[in-house]
Amino acid sequence: MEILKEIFGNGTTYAILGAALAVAFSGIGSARGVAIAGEAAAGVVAEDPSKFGQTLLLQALPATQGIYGTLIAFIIMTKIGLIGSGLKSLSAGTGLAILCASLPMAIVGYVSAIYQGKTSAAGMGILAKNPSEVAKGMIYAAMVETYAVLALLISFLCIQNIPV
Amino acid sequence: MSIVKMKKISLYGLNSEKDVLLRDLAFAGCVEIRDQSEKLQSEEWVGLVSPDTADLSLNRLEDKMSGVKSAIDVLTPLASKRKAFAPKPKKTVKDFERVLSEEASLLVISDAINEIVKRQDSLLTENSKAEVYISSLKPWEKLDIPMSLTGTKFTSLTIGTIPVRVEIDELKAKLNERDIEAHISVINSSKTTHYITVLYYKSCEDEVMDFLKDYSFNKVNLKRENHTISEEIKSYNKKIEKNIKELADIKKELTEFVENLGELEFLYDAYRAKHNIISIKSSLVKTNEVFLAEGYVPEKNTEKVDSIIEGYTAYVEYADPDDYEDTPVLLKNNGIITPYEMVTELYSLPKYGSIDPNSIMAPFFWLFFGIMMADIGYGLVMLGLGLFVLLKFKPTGFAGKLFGLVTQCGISTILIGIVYGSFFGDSIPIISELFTGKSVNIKSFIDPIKDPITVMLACIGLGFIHIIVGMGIEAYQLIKDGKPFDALFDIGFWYIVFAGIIAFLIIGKPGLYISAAGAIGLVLTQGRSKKGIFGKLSSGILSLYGITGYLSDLLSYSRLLALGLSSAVIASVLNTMGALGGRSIFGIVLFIVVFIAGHLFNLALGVLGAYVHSSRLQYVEFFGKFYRSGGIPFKPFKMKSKYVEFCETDNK
Repeated sequence: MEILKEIFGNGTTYAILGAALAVAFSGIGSARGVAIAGEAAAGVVAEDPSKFGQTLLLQALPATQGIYGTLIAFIIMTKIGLIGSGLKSLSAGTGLAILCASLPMAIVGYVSAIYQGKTSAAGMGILAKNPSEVAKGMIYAAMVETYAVLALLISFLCIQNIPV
Repeated sequence: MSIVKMKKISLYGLNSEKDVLLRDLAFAGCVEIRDQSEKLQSEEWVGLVSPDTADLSLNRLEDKMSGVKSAIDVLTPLASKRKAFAPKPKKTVKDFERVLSEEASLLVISDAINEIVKRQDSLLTENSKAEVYISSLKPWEKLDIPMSLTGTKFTSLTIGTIPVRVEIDELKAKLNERDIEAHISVINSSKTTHYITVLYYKSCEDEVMDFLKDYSFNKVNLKRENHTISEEIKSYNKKIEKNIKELADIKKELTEFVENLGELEFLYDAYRAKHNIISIKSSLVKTNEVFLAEGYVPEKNTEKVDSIIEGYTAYVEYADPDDYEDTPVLLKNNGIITPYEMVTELYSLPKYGSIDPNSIMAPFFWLFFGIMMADIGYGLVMLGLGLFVLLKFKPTGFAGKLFGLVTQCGISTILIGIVYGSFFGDSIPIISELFTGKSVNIKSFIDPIKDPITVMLACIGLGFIHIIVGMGIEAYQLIKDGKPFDALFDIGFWYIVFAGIIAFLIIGKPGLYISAAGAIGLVLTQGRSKKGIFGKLSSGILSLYGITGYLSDLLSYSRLLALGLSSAVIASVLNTMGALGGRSIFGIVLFIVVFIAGHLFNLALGVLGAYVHSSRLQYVEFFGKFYRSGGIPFKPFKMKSKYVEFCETDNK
């Protein structure tokens, strides 16, 4: 019984799990998204190496989810004192609340990064055929990112307002 | 501040003066000439005019152009490096005519250059062929018999290669075993191959060859020369040396031509311009004596056209554009607003006769960008970079707009950075603690990390103003188009609904009555195009659903806070990481490295994000409310050039 309490009653574990999920899933999503865009970029650059810089811009777009995830993880770590003031002891309820608050970023970050990667890859087609219109491809990719931004916002507001 | 007023222009001139008149128009560069060929099909014109036949000289011109171009490409790497962004030499009409009249002597030069290059190329191929040949002979160098020697009266000498995996001793033993009278000697061995000679009686040639074939023997045939292989190599080496010397001479010869580079470049540009003039000419129509050119000219340039015409027997007619769909669009804004045209042009130009949104959109874009970056340090970097490029290189066109935007948005980034109290994130407290042990804070008016709700409400409030302004422009356009009731029904009633909601938030219940009044207005009017009372009413009620659209538009502005937060938090993560080394030499070095690399990365990512998302807020939330897109850009007929700049007069 004591052991179970030790394992499941520790809020810090849940909070760190939340940070881990946010950074891991957003990171995996971004890695996949950037890879999808990168594969398409390589095709464009093979034809015309001078477009390298522009492909890089398009490829960087799905990278932001990973950064947002890191950001949420960092905020959780500051919140529970893992960075800075020393680890606080949390109740299981508070820890779980922080874990739940990290979920929007983890889930939406993962999925939206992949879709944004696909949109960026499609934007590479614009770059290949009509380079002056490449910024339109960037806007399409940014339309997808909107939802990652909203998830970031909600995760952030939740974590910020959970009393510790 | 607006879309430039255009006039339709019809220009009648004498065929005999066509070339010079078109040339002068091209130098002025203020008239767009449209293709006239559709006139040939229209009933009104058919029989009256004939197409201006494409000039046969076009092909000859293209040949000359490619000759001159290749000469330029040869000379350019030989010439001393020109400064990047150096101003192009200015050329006038007189210069243009002069260079064309001197083309014969310049063409002699370019032909001579191309001839020399041809010689250079053949020497180079000769050398590379010789090198390949020498490397194929190299392994046989030690074989000191004449190359033509293939045997004596009774014996035959064959040379060839055999893979290294074959043991030569074993081979010889096998030969003995089979009683074949042949002598094998190894001349040379590489990592993969033995180079061998085989001496045998002519009578047993087939036997020897069959035997060797089993060991992957490859016969080598030499040229029939009377000297040895090493002498052959020597003679080829000599040839290469001689060619190299000749190549050096050729280079010197070419270098002497470099002084002509400027004139050749000018000639090339003159050809290009002439090519352009001829192609425009072929899209016009003419009668026996007279030609007709039609197109568009900005109203302010009509006087200029008149003054050009004065010198010729020509007649020009201006009319107001009747077909707005077809009228080209030229934007005219002051220096502050011009950079923002880049954002609009990316979406689409406004239609002729509608509103140029740039001056209204610019302050919003500027502010949104600043809110998303929101850092004094980043703003200073952008401002510094933008000003440096603008003042040093004075870029024009797209680059000029881009760096103008960077400079201006740098300022808004600094201003919002001051509000948030952010300088490279929280670098000031962290640096001061790292070096002095005491944490110094800069004052922040609102800290978005500690008080995000206030900032979010401010962002959404800003978004509300943005949307209201967008709707207001649509109302203005509707009134201008003579549809004041549409403006009242479609926009006025929504304004009333919004005003009621705001009143409700401030003073409470009475606000709801105002909203309700607006909503009733919407229900009554939004179905006005539908037939039947039921259709009118149902689409009227459904139109209230539009409130969700406005709600999602407003929430979209929360990205202003979110992106600002993300760039601020990443910056503080970087600072914290940099400070991990503590107060030591190592710690300080670590801090500097992490600080520079990390903040550059965050700045680049932030600028990309802020640009893309500010644009999106304009395109989707703002332009969606009123923008009439699809304008055709104004493409004046002008002297196109690459190396020189054509201008009408000498004054610079």
